Amino acid sequence: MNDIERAIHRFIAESLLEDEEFELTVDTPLLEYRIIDSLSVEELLVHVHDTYGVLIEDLPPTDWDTIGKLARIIAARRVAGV
Amino acid sequence: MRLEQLVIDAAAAHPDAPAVSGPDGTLSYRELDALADRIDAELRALGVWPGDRVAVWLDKSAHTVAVLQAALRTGAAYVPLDPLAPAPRAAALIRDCAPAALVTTEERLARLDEALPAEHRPAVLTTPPGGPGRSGYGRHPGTGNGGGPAPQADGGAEDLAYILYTSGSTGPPKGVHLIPPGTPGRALVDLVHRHRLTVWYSVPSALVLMIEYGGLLTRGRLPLRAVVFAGEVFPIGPLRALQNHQPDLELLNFYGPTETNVCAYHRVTPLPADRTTPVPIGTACCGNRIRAVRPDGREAAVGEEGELLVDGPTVMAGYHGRPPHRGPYATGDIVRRCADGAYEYVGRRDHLVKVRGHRIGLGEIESALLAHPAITDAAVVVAGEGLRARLHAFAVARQTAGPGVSATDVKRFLSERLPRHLVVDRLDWLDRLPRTPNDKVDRRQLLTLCTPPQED
Repeated sequence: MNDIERAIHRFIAESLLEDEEFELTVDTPLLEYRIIDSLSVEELLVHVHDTYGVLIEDLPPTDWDTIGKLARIIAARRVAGV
Repeated sequence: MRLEQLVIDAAAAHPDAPAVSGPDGTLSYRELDALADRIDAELRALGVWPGDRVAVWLDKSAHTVAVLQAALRTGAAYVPLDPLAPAPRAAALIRDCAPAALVTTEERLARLDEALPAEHRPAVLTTPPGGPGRSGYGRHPGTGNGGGPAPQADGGAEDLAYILYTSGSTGPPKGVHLIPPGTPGRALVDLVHRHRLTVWYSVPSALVLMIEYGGLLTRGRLPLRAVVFAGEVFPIGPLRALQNHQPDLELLNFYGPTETNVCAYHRVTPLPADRTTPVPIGTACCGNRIRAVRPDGREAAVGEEGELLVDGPTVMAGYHGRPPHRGPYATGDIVRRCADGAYEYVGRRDHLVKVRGHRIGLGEIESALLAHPAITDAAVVVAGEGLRARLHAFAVARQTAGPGVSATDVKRFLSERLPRHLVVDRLDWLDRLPRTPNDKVDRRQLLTLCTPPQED
């Protein structure tokens, strides 16, 4: 995992899943397996915006439904200043 | 009148008006009509006949609407599959409904390769990537025995239009939700303002999400003239806040299980500040007749409760694979008859619960949990209310299973077997389930074990 992936993983595991014993890899489909629900999605996207200044709400959920995809978008958009 | 005729007529009447707008762009009625015709021809070339089924496994988009229109034009019934469903789940539904054709993307087709044996493989039409005006469909002939029954001459008004899956196998269907799961409240509110939407239709939980997290009521006047909600009880507090924010906004409560479609409606009147009961489900609509029947079989009088029965043109043809449905449909919903002829929703007569607008049979989830090789006993409870309602599972691990099973693994297992709204939110392992003296699972005690959902 790179730094962004690690940080997102930590946020999901500690804040959204409250340290429940989930095993999450960068490729675990968060929505397909219903790891997180709509309310947690809100919190995740707010967290991403607050932490990285990146908005991803214009993208369909399938574009950011794993930790890996989400981290790639954050990295790309931070550079592009979106 | 057949369903697909409405778009054909609209294309003739106002060809340039926008018909459907999605993440992939906007189609006018003329464009939608032409695209549906083109896909219709592709489906016929693949061997789709009237009376067949066409499974559609695509993201929600303008193009997907054209695919559904095309399926109707072939005379087949379409079967929408959850775009977020894992491949094994999609494969199981395809085997169950035996479609003559499947419309999906190249990427999803590749994922089906392992999950769907060749003898169940229908003909496949793959959609080209890009906007709705895209080109380059891929035709893959089938290797299975899908399709049928025997071709009919020409579709009449009574043909099947769609089959909806909502339960593990062939159980009762449940309406499709147009909002992709996981779409944030703020994005939905942005959508309302950006497109100057005039009519909104969703489950109340989506509106509550928009009020609580999306700033629906803090960004000035809404372009909306009507808000329609259905599928569950709208909590009176947020509903009143919406009405107070914009008193001239028309608020409509639609009622109807998937089996009957919308069969009753209520126009919300000004809500006094001290009202605590939800708004009524109202009176019959869409040419239906509704009545409440008491346990003794008599029709409920004013003030009395009974099960709601629906009779009329919108009642379903039946459950797939079972004999056709005849006569009035008993909803399982208990209602009270009001003095003005309207009905109020009281509750369910069985143990179905509603979470975020979905009907949930806890037993069905428990059965699926018990099918997991590492689980010997399981129970599911609903913790919390409204937007914060959670499906919380408690499971007992097989002694020999070892410590290897994680909650993620169980969620994956469930999502491959059940519709996504039946996948539990939380899972806790117990040494054994608490039981009442007569050996039933003690659900009340399980509820005390649930961690309270986070408040903001």
